[in-house]
Amino acid sequence: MLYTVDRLASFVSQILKYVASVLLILVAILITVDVVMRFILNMPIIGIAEIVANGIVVIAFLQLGYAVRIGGMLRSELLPTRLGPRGRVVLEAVVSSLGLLLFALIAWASWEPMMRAIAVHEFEGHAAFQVPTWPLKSVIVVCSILAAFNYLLIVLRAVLHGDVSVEREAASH
Amino acid sequence: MGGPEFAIAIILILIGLILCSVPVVIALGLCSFFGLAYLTGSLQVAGSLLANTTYEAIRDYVFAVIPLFVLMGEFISRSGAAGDLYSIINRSLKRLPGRLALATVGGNAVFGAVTGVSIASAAAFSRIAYPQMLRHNYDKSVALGSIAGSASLGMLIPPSVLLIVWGVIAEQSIGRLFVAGVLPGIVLSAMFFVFIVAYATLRPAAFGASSHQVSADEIEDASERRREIWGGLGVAILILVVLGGIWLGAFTPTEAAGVGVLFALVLALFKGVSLKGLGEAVLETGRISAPLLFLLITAQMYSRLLALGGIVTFIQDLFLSAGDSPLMVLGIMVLVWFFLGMFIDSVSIILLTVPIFGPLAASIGYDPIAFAIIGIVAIEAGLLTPPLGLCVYTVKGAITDPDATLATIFRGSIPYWIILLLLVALIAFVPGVATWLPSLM
Repeated sequence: MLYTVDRLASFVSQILKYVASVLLILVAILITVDVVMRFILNMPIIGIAEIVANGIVVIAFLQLGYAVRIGGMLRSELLPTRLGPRGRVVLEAVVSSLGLLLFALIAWASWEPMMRAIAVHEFEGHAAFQVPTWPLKSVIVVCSILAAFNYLLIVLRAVLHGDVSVEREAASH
Repeated sequence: MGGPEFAIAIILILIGLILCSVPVVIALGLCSFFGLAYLTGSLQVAGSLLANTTYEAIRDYVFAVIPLFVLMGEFISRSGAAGDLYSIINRSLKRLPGRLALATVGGNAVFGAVTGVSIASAAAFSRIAYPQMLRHNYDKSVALGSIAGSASLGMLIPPSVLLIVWGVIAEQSIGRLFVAGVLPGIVLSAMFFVFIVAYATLRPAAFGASSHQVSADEIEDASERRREIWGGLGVAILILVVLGGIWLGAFTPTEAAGVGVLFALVLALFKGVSLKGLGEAVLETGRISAPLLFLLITAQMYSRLLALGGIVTFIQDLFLSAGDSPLMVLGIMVLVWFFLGMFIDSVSIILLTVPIFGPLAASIGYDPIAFAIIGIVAIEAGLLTPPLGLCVYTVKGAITDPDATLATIFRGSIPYWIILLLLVALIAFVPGVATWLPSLM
């Protein structure tokens, strides 16, 4: 049961990671087109800064679930290498509970602003270019919940099965 | 406003969590949230600060530089440019002692100008240079030390993730910081060169002087050479466009990164990188840059806590009471960086210390740009020292030779971090090394 849910969470995290990768390429293309338009045609694209700025936050959050699953968050490896198998299970469970707490807090805190943004059709940006705020705010909430859920799965795996392996990376060198 | 007890408690909890292997993002985020909740006496207020920071912290055009420069470096790495640069420099240095080690330094310097992370260079040159050095009977420790040591060039020479993060945290222009990194990067390469030539002259045996089968593996066909030249030329143009564009003010760093990505993509396609390879480059970019962006989000929570909790003032008083000579204060900072470098990665060190050290350095008269370069070089030195020198571990991970133990690599790296600390001293006494080029912008 736990592993079925785990595979599902892994699948969702992977999909979001691919979406983020495509978005990143789009951002690069958009910036280049903007530079070319400005230099050659003297005609910059309006609102590019807003699109890129919001895009970067979306890209970061879409990668979040996957980053959690592969243990991609930067940490000191000094203690785990000095612990026995039992100690590592306890450590992993405690550390991942803290991760669960942080992303649950972010989701909880961002919930209200998201609901408000949806209810009042909140917009942001310069007068010439307005972006609705609800898509980004929803991405933040949804991806934080996914991250918290992935941490919960890591905790459950450690506590119930003594399993502290991290997901193998799909992209190998 | 929290008292000194609050400051001490927060710092101890933070360091404790990080030493217990809690990811730095989580340690920073939780400490900041509960610290702010304690200071304001309200979970609601802390919550709205958290929501606000998550939404606003990296929602800016400038943050696109991180994934874009990482992606540019990934494309270039996969195109085999590091190998091309190495061969070209290697061939042009025929008569010098310690030639293969020199080519490693030179290759790293140029490769560093198109990649933003030391780890990429350390891994690439372990695979390219180490087998050659072994064939030429180099002492293993000397060979691996030169690879791990010269990888530090990548973080100093722009575009560098460390320079970007420093610029964001210290609110300095990233373009100016990039330009400031160029001259110290050249000086550092020169110092490595002088060291290797001197060492190889004094102890030729360590650099394989006894071997004479040198010419055997150097007969290559002309087409391979041509490919190498094209690769080298592509990298040269990329450097000119990206750094030149920033220096001349034609591009913002973000624009330079965007253009650089597409240029690097064309170069990678031209060099025959498969579609699968390109896809992996994009995925790898996400893997490297997403955690960095999250660190920046929680770092902003942390700087709010530092300001509101009076922690910055507390630590500044502590430093100034230790001695008010600027060199003394700088010395303590370098010690702190060196110490932290034993446990955590460079980006985390910058996030933890720069919000406190930056204003302090400015108040005792250091130029912020020179201080940034000093800090990055000092933190780089920590990447080469035990127990957790990141460059050393990368080199170890990239080679399969069972004789090459971590201790061997750490031993070989010692001269290089001593040289890095010499560079710190040089910039501290002659800040112009870092500030001269940006002053011409």
